[in-house]
Amino acid sequence: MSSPGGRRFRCTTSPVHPIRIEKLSLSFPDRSGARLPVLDNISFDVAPGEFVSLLGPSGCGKSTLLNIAAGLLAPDAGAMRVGDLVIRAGHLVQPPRVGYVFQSPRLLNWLTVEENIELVLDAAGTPRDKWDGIIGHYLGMVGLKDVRHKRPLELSGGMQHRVALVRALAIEPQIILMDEPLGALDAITAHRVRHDLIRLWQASGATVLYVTHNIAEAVQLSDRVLLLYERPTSVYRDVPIGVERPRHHSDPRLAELESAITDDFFANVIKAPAA
Amino acid sequence: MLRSPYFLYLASALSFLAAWWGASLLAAAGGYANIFPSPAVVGGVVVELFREGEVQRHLFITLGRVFAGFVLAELAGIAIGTAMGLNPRLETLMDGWVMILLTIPSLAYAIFALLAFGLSETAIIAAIAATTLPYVVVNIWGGVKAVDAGLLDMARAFRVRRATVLRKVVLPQIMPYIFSSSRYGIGIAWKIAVVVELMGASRGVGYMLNYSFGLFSMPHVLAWTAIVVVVMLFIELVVIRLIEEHVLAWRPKVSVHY
Repeated sequence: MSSPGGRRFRCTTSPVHPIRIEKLSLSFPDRSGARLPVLDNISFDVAPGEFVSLLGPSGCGKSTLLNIAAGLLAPDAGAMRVGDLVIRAGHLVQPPRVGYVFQSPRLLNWLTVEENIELVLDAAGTPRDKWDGIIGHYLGMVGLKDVRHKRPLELSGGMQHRVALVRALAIEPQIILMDEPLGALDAITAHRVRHDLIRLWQASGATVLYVTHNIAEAVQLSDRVLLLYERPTSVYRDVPIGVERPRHHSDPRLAELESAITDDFFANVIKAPAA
Repeated sequence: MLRSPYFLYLASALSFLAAWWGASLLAAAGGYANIFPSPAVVGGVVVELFREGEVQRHLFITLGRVFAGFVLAELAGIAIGTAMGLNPRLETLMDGWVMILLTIPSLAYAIFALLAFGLSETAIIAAIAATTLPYVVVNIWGGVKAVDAGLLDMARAFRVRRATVLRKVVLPQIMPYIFSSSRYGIGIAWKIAVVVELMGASRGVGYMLNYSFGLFSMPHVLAWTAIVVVVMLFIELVVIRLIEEHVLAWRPKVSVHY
């Protein structure tokens, strides 16, 4: 039913491009007008179709990085490349086909689930005759076929998060940006949504940048985990998670990696409070 | 039953009539029956005015003016208030303007309009629209400032076109403010309409109020006042409320408990 399904609806023939983050720096003005550096010369590459987690302390600038990748913010210096497209200091360019999943679902409560998804399909230029099939397909993949004509406030929190996932996937994205998408969910619901998320991503072939401060989640989901310093941030360590999929959440190799990263993280990234 | 809102509306309307009636009895006992007639006397005058066709002749023309002035103010107010809420530079630029326009007395607007346009429908409608406009602007402006920035970022991230963002993301969020500005705006439009009619019209409720004043007939003054109040309550409690319930059906029913 859902096997090679994701490809069936793909309406762009363009391949998924690698992402290169090259020496990005960005600072924000703080309340007193001084510049508060957020990104400090950060560089890393992401291969096409790779799932990369950005793991760092709260407020270290992870979300800022996603906003640059989405073309919502321009960096002060450095560049981000997606294929031939370059995002540089001083001008905003939005890369095509970016699906964004936020920490809260950010659905429009006055529209039905279907209308919420149609809004982004229309914006992405997906041909109208494919909408019905796409919406049915993705809602089916997360077990939400029945809620198509409901409004978000009639759904549980976990269901709303899954609709937000479907919205990001429905535009057949090249890049999916996720900003702690499970952070507001209880453990059981998060477990289910995580499962849906991996299935949807695998069917899509998209590149994922996944922001989290949950070490277990990063290890469980990712091909690579980038450990980030506190603000102003850059990459402290790049950890490949060489565990084949499907992964079982109680796989001892994952537990080992989680524990090693946790030790490293607290020893070297989180600065001890001044004595 | 006692908690049903309809029962409460009915109870509050009846208690108002009872208080009025009691007060009129006291006035009559003191020899002031002509100054403070009872609800029954006023009701009789209303029926008489209907029979003679006076209500039909004067009420609908006032309603038409109120509606025209209010719709102009509401449309312009939504456009200006939305632009101010979305554009910080325009906001700073217009802030002072709105404050000045709010401060100008409605009587001054009426006189400006009558001097500028003469004794015409244009003058009456212009005065109503000008008086109502700044109130609508302030309401809508506040509503747009309260729009969820996260939803705007979402729409931007998915590259939703600006016109679509206004229609599907911003407009539904300011709908409650459009309704509250409508309630407010229609009330203001009525008040100024009657004043302008008193000064510069030969038909309309304001004209008839002034005419009744000329006859020193308190029953007629109160009859015309009662007609305006009933029509206003009908618009506010039935028309606007029904539209609001339909448009805002997506909102969960909430009440504040404390």
